[in-house]
Amino acid sequence: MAALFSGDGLVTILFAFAGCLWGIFGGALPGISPSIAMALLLPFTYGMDPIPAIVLLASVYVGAEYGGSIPAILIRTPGTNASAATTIDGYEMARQGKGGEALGISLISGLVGGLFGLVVLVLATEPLARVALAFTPAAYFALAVLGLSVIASLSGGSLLKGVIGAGLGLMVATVGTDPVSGVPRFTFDSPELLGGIRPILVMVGLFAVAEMLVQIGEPPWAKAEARDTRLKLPGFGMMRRLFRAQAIGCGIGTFEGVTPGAGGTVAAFMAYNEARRWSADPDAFGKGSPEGVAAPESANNVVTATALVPLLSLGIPGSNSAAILLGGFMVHGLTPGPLLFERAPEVVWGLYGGLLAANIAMVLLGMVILTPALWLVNRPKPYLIAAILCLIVSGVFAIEQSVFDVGLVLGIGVVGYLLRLAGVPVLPIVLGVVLGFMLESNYRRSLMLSAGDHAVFIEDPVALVLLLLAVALTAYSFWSEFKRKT
Amino acid sequence: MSRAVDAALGAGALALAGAYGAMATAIPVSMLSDAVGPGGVPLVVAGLLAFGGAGVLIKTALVGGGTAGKQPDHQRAAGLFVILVAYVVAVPLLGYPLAVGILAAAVAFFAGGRGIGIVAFAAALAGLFWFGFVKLLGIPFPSGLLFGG
Repeated sequence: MAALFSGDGLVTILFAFAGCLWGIFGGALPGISPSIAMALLLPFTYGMDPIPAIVLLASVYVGAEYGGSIPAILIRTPGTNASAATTIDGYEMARQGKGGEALGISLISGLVGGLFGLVVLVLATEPLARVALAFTPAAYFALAVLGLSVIASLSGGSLLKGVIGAGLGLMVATVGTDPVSGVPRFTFDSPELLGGIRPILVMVGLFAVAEMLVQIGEPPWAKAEARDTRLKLPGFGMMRRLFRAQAIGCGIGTFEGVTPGAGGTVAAFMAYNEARRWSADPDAFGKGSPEGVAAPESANNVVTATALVPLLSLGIPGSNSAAILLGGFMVHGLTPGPLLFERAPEVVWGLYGGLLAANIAMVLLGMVILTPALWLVNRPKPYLIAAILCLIVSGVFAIEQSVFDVGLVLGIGVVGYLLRLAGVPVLPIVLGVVLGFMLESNYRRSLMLSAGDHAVFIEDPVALVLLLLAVALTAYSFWSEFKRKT
Repeated sequence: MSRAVDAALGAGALALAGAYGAMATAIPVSMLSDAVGPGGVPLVVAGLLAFGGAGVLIKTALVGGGTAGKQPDHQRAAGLFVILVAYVVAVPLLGYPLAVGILAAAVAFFAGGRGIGIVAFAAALAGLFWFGFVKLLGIPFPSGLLFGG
């Protein structure tokens, strides 16, 4: 804690505030998800030190979850997917003239959820990572296979399309110089592709550019009225009343956060349903119940921390936002996973401290940011889209001072747009890109150590267990999809 | 999702898998290479992609595609893409401040903005970005050929 308030620590706190501020603005804009808000900042973290860079990105996620609830409550338009559940009772409260109270409940429930999630993150991540420290290359290969097998739960109802997405991601990961022999692969004689396609470019293209290509044809966002901009924090009595709903949100958010693919949206809706089920007055839900705001808001803020458990301990991102954060680590030559705790523990602890600062920043900024956030939401959409696109092309150029990279990102954006039309989920693609190198390098290293004997993957007990888990998970996913559709 | 879109996805994935697999087999094997070789894993990836593509095609043939959801406006998306490509082509020639200003104005106009406000917005944004990226961050953006580089 003392380190947090040193010179470097103060810089980290500053970046936590900046990230949170950016996240609140991004989350408040319908169509800008937390992952897009993070992707827009990703290019700017290149020149930064690792800790402020990672904290900046993680804080965007924290801020965006509160930012998303602002239009959800005031104009019935969720700024983020995870705030959709908040719309139900939040907007009803706003209609009854209690919009400021709903926003206050959202803010404080978000703080409760964020702090609870942080405790879970700190307690769960290192023990899990310590187990993974004993992994051999064969076990790492198996871990990458297990990571890819979770595409089933990320495929939004079509496992085959998830497989196509993962295949495309793995294809991208093989572009560039072969890690073992040094032979160039799939570079089309382009020197710019010899180093491979950086995951950051794939993420910015798939998330940000593709979204702008969709948004250009969408109607303008609804306007918020200025009279709604006075925030009212809940008092002691209200906090006692909200305790049960917040506890339910924290429990569900913890479970859903560590489960790859579930994420804040599922957590928020589940928490809303369970809070209604266990409420003394379930009929009040849907008619402006404060508990109906508290449960989903605490749940989706727990997820902002607990979604990092599989990322930090095993190196597997389970959500879009975690994947972007992984990109942030990779920008600085850091690989999340068990070795991170040995090689760069200061980054992990810096991230924990930064998340704490981000949650506090969320409350402090949340109390004063409402008017500017609403001003931003009310800006004409054409100017917002133009500004975001200028930010994308400038930010991408800034990474390597390469116009080629800007063109590449635009091309990836078009591919992302087309894949979206075809219903191919984005996260399996990102997973393929970020796990591709881990998969191939450890597969080939294992075979070199075993003189080409594939039995190494079943003789290593950890690898065997992980591979069996991957097979079971994939088989179960195919079976459940088949069962659902028959 | 409509039947035609799913069929196109499946066929596209199969075609891509075929092309990618063919390229993988053509990768020269170095003396330093291991038993798997530089094309080994890409061949497996091609197989995975082909499996997904064939699966989608078979599923579409047997049970049809899903219902088509709300579709984005493809013409507007294509128009925006053309503007962005024009920026990529123009930035080495015009230089960053001018090109990003024109990009901002063009996108805002294309997205429905009208009036003198667009010019003011574009000029302010170009100035802000030029100051932030070039002056503050020191990033060497193209200065352009038209105005003496």
